[in-house]
Amino acid sequence: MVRSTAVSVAMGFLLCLPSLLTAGTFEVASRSELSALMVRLRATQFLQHATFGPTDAEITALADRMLQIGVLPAADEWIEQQFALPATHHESLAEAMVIADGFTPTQTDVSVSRYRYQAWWHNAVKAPDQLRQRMAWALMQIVVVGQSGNNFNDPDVGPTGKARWQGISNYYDMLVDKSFSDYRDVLGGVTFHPIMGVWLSHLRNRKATSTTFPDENYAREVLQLFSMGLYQLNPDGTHVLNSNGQSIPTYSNTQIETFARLFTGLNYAGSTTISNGTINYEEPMIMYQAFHDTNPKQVFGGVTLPGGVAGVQDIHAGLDNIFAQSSVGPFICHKLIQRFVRSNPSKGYIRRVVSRFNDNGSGKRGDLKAVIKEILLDQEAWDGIRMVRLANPWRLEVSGEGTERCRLQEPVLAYAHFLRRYGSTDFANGWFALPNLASNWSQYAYGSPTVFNFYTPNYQPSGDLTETSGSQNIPGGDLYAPEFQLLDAVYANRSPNRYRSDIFNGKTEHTLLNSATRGVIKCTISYDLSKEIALAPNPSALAAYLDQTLCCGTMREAERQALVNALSVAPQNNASTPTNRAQAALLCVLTSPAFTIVE
Amino acid sequence: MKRASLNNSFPALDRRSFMKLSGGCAALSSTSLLSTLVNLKLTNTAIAASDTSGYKAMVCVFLLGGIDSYNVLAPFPTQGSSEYTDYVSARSNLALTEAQMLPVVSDGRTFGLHARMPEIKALYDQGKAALVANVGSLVEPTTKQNYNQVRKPLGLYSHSDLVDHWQTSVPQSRSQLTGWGGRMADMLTDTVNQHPTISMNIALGSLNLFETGTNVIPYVVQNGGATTLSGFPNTSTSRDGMYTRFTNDALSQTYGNLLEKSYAGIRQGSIQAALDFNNATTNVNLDPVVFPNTSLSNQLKMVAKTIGARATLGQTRQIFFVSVGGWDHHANLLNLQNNLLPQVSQALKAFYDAMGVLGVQNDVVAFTCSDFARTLTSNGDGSDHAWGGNHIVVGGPVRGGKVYGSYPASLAPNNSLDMGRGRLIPTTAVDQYNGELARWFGVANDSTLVDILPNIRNFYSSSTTGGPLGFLV
Repeated sequence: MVRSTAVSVAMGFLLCLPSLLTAGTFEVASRSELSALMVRLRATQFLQHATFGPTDAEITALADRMLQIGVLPAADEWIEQQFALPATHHESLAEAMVIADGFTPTQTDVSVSRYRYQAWWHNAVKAPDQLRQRMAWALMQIVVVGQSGNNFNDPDVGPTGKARWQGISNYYDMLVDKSFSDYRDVLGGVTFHPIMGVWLSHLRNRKATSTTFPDENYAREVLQLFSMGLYQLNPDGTHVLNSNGQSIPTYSNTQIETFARLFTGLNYAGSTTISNGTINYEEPMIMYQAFHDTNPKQVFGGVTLPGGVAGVQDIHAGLDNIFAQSSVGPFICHKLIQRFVRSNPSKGYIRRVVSRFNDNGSGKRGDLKAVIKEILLDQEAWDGIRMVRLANPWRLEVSGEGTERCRLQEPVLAYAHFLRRYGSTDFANGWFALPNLASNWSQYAYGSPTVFNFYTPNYQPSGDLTETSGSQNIPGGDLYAPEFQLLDAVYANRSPNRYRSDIFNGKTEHTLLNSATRGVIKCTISYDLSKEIALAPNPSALAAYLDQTLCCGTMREAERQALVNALSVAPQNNASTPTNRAQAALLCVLTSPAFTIVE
Repeated sequence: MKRASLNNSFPALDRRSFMKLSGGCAALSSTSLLSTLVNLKLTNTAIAASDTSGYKAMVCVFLLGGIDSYNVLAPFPTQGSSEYTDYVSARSNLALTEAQMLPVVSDGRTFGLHARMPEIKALYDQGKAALVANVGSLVEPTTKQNYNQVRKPLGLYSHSDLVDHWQTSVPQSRSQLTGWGGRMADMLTDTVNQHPTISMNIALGSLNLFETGTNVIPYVVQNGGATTLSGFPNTSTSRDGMYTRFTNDALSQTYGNLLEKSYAGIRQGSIQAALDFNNATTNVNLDPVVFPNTSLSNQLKMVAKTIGARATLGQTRQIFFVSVGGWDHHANLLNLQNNLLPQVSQALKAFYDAMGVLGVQNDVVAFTCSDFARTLTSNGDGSDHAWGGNHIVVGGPVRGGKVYGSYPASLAPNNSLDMGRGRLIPTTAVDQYNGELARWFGVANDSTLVDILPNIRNFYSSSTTGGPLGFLV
């Protein structure tokens, strides 16, 4: 079937352009097998963008459909099917997990807040609505909140009967529910959610008195991080320049002060004054008109919000004004492309996605369905991988297309990929009840230390990327690699250590609770490497299989050969060799440049 | 000494400097940086002018979120002075009472140090701690009168901007790739660091801009030390043997894709560095000093151990970065500071004592930084983002028992520094604060200092012999 031999490498050398020398080569038996392999790699690439990492069955199903109706139509159809799936929620699942363990969400003698992580991991691995879950995770990294907010981990009961620690899952579910809505709807949900009200302190924010002034926290971040950024942007992501060739700030401090006046008068649902009320992280904040600044507000684009307007209506008018600014599309779309496809989208890619953001084709602005479809189906979602079909013998040469067409995989996405592909659980209800695993890679759901997320969109690791300018296609010319901000000297070792421990033990026993009074709760995840073990007698076949299925075939010939050479040192006739080779091979690939850098 | 390798390192440095030039980094005078390097290459004069003798370490203690430092150092109620009542009139329900302060005296003027910091008070009285008043990021001297004429830091009052400005010392720019500690290390590293992989800039917990240079980037360790790569190295034919072989081979290959290349390079460097670091620090003994079990204290304990390992690591200059968040007190300010300030005070004291155990008490300085101070006026229960604030410096080289800089004569609303809501224009620039540290660290007061702190000449003349503020020996 699929194999790579020294002969095919040599033939490639003779027949192909020198630039393809480093490409990985897969030899097949027939022209139809060649097409099937190409399509399978495209299905793998697409599903790596659109899910938390594809299973073998998901790849096969999509590849079959691609063979029937074509690559793009099948991908489009898959997206439409995802749009139609009901939303899978986190708060209710976490609560079900608490109850199944014999506790209540308001339990004080066990750490109940950990259930939010168990629910997040389970949904990442098992939720059918994978694309929605990926979008919610991407949005969570834009409209960031983190578990370090005041009282966010408390077990105390709130007025709706839910415990406080559930509030941040409620916020996440709000993003899940709005993932296929429009971005204006996201901004509204975020602004009125009490979790955000506490996180950025516009809850109980009051209009000015003779001695106090409105809190500016939310006003600043909603502009700087949630909508338009610091500089005015063209639709292709480049800066708008003034007549002196300088970038133009999107807002002034005066405008911050104006928007601070806008976000006043909100308090918890269930309160009866601006200052009383029980902590309620479940329901949108309510307005106290007497504490809302009802003066006219000069906002963007020469617009003045009239005075004397009801507070909620006033805030919505202010959000409409923010949302209407032309920088919002390029600012948000660039961040979304970075989360799904690549760190350095071209101006053309940004412009095409922004054009769908600005108008979905039916005159609607900010439609996230239209945006994600363009992000995933655009030519640049595919052109990170080059495939060349060659004859005599039939073979496929596959190569990653380089620096500007890839990204470093987020640690939690890589690990979810591993779990989806290899993991099974012994836990009740088939739950993947994992702890947050923060100590392995510092990134975890609900774990952003600040509103600035785990990394900045324009982070550059020192060295090669800071020395090199991008091509003319890249807006601004600088090359970014945000996720490298997490790859410090600690996590560069810790992350491989996690995979090594999991794979070499064949399973992972997560101790979720170890309490003298409340007992011990464990969840064991086992890993099925049977396919790898079956291929292990032939190191080349094993390496080629892992390359195709985990790296979309993008391992360079030398990198794959390094794997073959390493695997070949195990004694061929030893009974334990197939398992040892399979485990070592998987660990090697999961820690390889080819897997970690995603095209 | 590593002089022999100096020449080898310069072509890369030159190339990177050029790249930054083309990247539009107008603030850093790249021509002067470049000419300095050329001079260095030819004559070694700049390094020769700097003092790299002996051992020195500086520890940046970054209080993330913007500490409300006018409640760390406040005016103390004093007969015949309106300073305290002015303070109360600005702070309203956020004002500390006399009972919530410890008096500290500087040049006959009495200030109130927050009462939850008795250890700092004791160090101050012993002359081992100093306070520096109303420090903030500035491009050039700024007043209410010249406010609209001078260049000012970009993104005033924003966390991400001001955190970066403190660390880069180039506040007129948002696109700086290096921090002043990183640039200083770039200049010094070949002379003061003999270790091949462990940087002289060491960070606890996470990367930071302050310690990031062009050649030097921070080495990040956790409170327990460096994390090694499990199962590596292994020469057998076992799983670890296969893993070792692949890792060695794959990570040392040449990658055209710069993300792959960066990934491979970082992985490779991390594997060896962790082994070396732990070997060097494991057996450093800090007895009988007891570090409290708080985040900041545990970080400083690891810093102390690394200082204890300085000879094994081959480092005669070390720059450390530790940080602790939770200072963005828009709400519940008074209670939260009561909980957090003792952690700072106790951790700095334990660290100071540990330096005595290691015999380097007179060679190590710890200093605080923070995004900004906060509005003097209340938002009801807390304070918002502002500008100039007060800072603490601890260590044997400190000329302690004094408040440096210029503590405002009045904090009353609409005072001469008030930009509104009690956002105070800094009277001491971050550049002066950093310049004092850089000069003590050995950097000569010539173009070398300007390369590290490009705005320094706006505040500190090349003809001055002492440091910009004088708080270090």
